[in-house]
Amino acid sequence: MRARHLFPLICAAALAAAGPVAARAVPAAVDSVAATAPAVAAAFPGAPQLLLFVFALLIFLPFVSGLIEVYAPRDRYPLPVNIHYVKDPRYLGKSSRRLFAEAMARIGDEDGVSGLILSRDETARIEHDLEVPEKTRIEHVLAVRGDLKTAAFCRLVRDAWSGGDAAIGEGGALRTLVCGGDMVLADEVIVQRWVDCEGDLRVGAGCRLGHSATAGGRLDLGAGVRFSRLFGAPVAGPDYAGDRDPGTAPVAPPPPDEVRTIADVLDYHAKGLALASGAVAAAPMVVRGDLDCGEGCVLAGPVRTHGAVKLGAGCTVHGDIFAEGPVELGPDVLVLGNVFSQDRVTLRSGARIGHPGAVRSLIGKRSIRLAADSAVHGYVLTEGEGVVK
Amino acid sequence: MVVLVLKIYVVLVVLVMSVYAARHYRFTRNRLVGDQRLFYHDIVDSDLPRLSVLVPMYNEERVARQAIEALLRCEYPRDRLEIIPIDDHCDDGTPQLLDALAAADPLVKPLHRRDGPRGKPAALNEALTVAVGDIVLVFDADYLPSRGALRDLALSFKDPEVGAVMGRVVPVNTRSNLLTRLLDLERSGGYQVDQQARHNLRLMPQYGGTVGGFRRELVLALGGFDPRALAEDTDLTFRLCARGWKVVYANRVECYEEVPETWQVRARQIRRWSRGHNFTMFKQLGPLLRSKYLNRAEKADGFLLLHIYTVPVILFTGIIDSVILFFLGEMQIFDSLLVFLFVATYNSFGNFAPFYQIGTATLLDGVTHRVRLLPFLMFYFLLNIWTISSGFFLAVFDRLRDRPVEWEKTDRFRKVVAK
Repeated sequence: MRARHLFPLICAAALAAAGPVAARAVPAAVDSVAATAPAVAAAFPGAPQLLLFVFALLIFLPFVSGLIEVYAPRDRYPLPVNIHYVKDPRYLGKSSRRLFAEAMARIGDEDGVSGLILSRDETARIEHDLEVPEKTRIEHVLAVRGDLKTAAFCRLVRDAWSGGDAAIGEGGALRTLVCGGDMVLADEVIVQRWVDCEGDLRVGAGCRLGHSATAGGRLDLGAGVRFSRLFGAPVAGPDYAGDRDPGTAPVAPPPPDEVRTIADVLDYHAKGLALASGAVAAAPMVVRGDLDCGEGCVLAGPVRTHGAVKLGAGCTVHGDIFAEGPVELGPDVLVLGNVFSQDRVTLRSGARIGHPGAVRSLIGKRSIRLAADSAVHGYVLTEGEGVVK
Repeated sequence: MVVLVLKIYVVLVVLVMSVYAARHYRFTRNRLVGDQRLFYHDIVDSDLPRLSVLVPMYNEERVARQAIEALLRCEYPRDRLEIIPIDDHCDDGTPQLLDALAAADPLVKPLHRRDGPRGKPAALNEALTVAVGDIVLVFDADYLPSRGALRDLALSFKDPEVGAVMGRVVPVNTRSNLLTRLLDLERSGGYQVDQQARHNLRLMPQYGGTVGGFRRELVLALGGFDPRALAEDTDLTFRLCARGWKVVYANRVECYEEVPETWQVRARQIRRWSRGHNFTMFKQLGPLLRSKYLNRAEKADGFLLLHIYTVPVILFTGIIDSVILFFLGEMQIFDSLLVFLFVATYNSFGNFAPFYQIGTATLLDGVTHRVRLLPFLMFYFLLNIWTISSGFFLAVFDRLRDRPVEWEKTDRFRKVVAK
């Protein structure tokens, strides 16, 4: 046993011994114990000493489990930190695709039901191309080298992979599905976990998209779709009709030579702010209240508010929006940066976030509502309910 | 009269302890059942700001290579990144090591300091003049950032109100001995609960000087770091907040650090922190209370945060006070005060993180058995109360004499990595 390991034991024992030793050294301590319970002291002459011993024991008691942990450690390793972690909205799809590709390379070119080593040993149904008849239930992991197509009301109980395109029929249900081409989910499909495809992903009306739905290409959402996380270029509501020209951003004034407070650098408002229709704001803005913009306003951005943000029809924001309160982007609003709210976010018809060729995020902690012809170029995330209206 | 003053002081100490206990209870409750704010690292954005990563070093040949290589492994656009290790008057093999790393990768641009005062604030000030990034991140030489750390920290500055950001520090050498395990518990309570709750409650999370960053132009415009400040991080936190900017905390940006493995090294470290923090307390208390950019809750939290290294002194003198009263036979202040005092004292074991806060942190971190070491924090507390008190009085002398302070380096314990 190394000497340094004796230290806690010595400390705990010394603390426990201190009580009785002090009691012997200071007779008044025993007397005071005796005085608190004179009847007991009279009946049992050793009672004060016993009480002090019990007192010392009780002091020692909390250290017992700690001493066990010191001498027989069960939890001494550093907290696990994933030093390889990098934020990637399509991580699940990429990881799964890699696992399937490696597993399929190992088994060769045979079809049928056989063992497949993914993150663990699985029994998989392996096919070249597969068309699943209506109302079929597939219990195995499904690996399809080519295209996968299911008719209505099929159920894929386990993970599924398709090297080509994938199409899930109306009313189907699946756990996870990853494919190397395009993917189509017909109306009312239920995804329990997640889906990812390398190409475009078309989601029919009324689908439930589980934890996430991501695509390397475009992600089209039907009416009534419910979601948590989406990624696509772009993520588009029904009847998406392309993007409009953002125009030129207003030029921000140069920063002052001397900076004493935030108001010297930013367009700072200690309370709420209402901008009239057609107003132009060139400087980055901090509003410690609500921001209400009329129609056609142009903000250079970024914009930060401690309350709600409401942008009237046709507004353009050339930077990001950060809000503690709800954010409402009116019809045909264009935000070229990210939208980040600790509350809910609503995109009206024609609202756009981001622009083609760049990746931006729409994050609304409590909920996100996307209207028809709204679009986000990049990532959409909510901890609450996301819905396409 | 003297006895009356002593009695009043004991009551005041109990009140102070109660206020801090209530504060930490609020933080703990927030982390257990309160609303948790989303952090900026959930944003996915293809346009990231230009970044300068500063790594101040004084004789860091044991750890420098690992730190720089970990930074080079980070996922960040190379055309928007530079890494500036600061050789701050090193007299070991650190300068040669940095030059070799620079020769191997042009992203590494060492700054060799031979003139001017030694110390982190002075080193950072000089590096700020050569850095080109809009955002500056600072890592200590013993830190090992994860691959996504730079991106996750830099994204915070998309918010124009954010002046500085702080990530989470996780001790890596917990297996060494009891002290490192206790420091691990203390860090868990301090970050997982304390800092995150202050972020959630929109109070005043603290920039900790490492695994964090700030806006370069802003800090330069504010005059850089105060070279007299041993706690330049706390000083920056309060300067920014009093002027209207926010400091935010990124709990998911975790970074391994090496914590002291001997009680002597830990005592020196925490004495330096106490000295620096209390120096900042004297300097920033007025601006904090006068600031028109902070609401009452932020001011109250800032006030308590500023005094966090003063409380052990108050407690220490309170204990002495109560001992004097005990021997004078004057402890009958009101019923059960003594018990209350010691309960309050117990609540403050650790680095001002009470036991329920640390317990909650281990719960949130998903670790279990290490919480059994909690009672041993009492011995650590005894070390803290003594060294922090001595640091406080050094800060008082620093303030009174306006004397320059000499930077003390924390000893490293990692074995030299041969490569």
